[in-house]
Amino acid sequence: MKPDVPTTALAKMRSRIAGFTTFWRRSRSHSPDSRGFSLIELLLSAAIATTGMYASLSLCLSALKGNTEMRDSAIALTYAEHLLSTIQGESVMWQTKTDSVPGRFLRHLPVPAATGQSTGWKVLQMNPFATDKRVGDMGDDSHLYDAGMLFALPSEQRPRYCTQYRLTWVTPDLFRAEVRVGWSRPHVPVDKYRACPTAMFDDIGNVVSVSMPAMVMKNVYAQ
Amino acid sequence: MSTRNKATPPVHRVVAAGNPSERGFNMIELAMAMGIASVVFMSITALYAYQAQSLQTQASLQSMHREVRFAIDHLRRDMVSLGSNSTPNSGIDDLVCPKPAVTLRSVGLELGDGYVYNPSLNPNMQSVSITLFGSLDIRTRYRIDSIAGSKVTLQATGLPATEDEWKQIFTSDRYLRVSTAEGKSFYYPIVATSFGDRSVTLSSAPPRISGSQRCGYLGTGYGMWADVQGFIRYRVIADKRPGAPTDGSGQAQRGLLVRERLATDGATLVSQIAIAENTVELAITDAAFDLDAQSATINFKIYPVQDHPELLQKGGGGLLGSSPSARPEALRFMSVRLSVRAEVSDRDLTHTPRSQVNGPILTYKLEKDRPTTCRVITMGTRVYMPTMVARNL
Repeated sequence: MKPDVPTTALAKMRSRIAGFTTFWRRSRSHSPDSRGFSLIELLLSAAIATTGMYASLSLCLSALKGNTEMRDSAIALTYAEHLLSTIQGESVMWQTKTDSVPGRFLRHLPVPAATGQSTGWKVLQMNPFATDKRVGDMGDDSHLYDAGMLFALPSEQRPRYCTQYRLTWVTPDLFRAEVRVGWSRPHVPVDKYRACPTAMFDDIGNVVSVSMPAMVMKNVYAQ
Repeated sequence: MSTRNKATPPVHRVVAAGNPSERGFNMIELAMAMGIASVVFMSITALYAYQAQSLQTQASLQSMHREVRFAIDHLRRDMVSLGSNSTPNSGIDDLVCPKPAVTLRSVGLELGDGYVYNPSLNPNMQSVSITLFGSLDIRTRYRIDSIAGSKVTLQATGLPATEDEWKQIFTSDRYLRVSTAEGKSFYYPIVATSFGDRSVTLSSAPPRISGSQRCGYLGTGYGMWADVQGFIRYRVIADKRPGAPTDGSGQAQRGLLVRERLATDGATLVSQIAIAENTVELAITDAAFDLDAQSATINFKIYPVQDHPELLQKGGGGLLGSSPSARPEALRFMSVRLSVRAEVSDRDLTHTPRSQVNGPILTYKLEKDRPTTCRVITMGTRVYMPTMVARNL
């Protein structure tokens, strides 16, 4: 007998659904030609389950990474603030117009003062011979300013922060100090930025950084 | 017809019988699959457990960092304004005249004034209390209309609009500082106030300048400035608030960093607010002094606290103490450090008692009989004091 030929779109769809239902029933029925899951089916379901679990774990891991990054940022900000206070504190000694301003930081100011003239970014490094220029949570200045702080917070515990500073003249009695602290993201090889090059702060895919500015004034009160 | 319908085969053969292309798994395949699945699921479960623990540790660290950062910011905000609109040390400040009955120092530290839970388990802890004086909460200045005896009447312009606001500013735990346009000033404790007639009554009548009396106010005092100043103290106390954790003997387990308002004697407690829970230690680490401010060249000296016992001594002595030998006016910058612990002990940590005073604090132990301990984080910051530099005393 010649099968009915569907003529309308609705009839075509009904026919397709009926065909699929029949196929599904056949494949899942307990008739003699029924069988268990095939390897492909098993692999497919395992792959789907693995993908789901991987996604879920990735979510957890990214949350962990986010938390760690936030915590590192908070520490870096505190350290940057601490360093700026050090530069401001050093300005207590800056009282006369001489060719050299004393201090660890201020002695790098370009002389004579000219508005806009800058030191450029300088890496803060206590030991000039060390190739690894990274410092701990509160820096490395155990000789001058932070002997007490580093007694309680030894820098060798986690030397991971690269520190740079830049001093820019605003007026002959005032300059702008900027501090930036950067550190490698977890996936970056440990040694990649151990020398703390200036270029690392542009590599935002591999480096996280914070920066902070402050104005520093000459000690005009002691003149 | 299929063989399955003819006889009852052994159970383990049921699925294996029939055409090879139609059969399911046999027992060995099933056992292997279950074994592999078990290993995979156990690994995943272990990984999840590890993740959960890591998340808990991260959350705890996050919470500790939040506490310590907030506390450090709070302390820093108060300290950076020290000496601003106030005196670094009324005892040597020529601009303060007449001298107040109590010597007013912008900063005074007391060594060993802090709570430590179970010092035998947590040795070598030594907190300081930091007492500050100045216009730390209220920075508004007012104009004086007249001074009559101990009663100071203020001009209406700029005064608080409501009695509630008035009562929050002019309180009996504060000093009224009266200053001239030239910067000379005198301090008297407030004993009573009246919102209605805009008056503040002082503990005694300030002198009027006349003849040999070179200190005080001129005429009726009209046009002079007045503002309120007071003492604030940061210290670590035992947390005895309702619901705070205690051990079996009822002893508070938690140290609490508080900011306290003190009375005009600089010692009596008036009120306190909590700043950081689970505080382990509040300390200073380095302080820089310009001890010869009149010298032509400035060469300040930096004192790391562990090498300079002259900085702080028990009983209030030392350069930053509260005795007459203190030199707060010479302070130019100071570093403070705060350590807080996790709320709960970590069973994966080994307790490392602090080996020396001012050294690193790694853990803090609560339970004597358990091999657990709390994680500790420490943060510090330097506070530069521009107004102390400006006074240059």
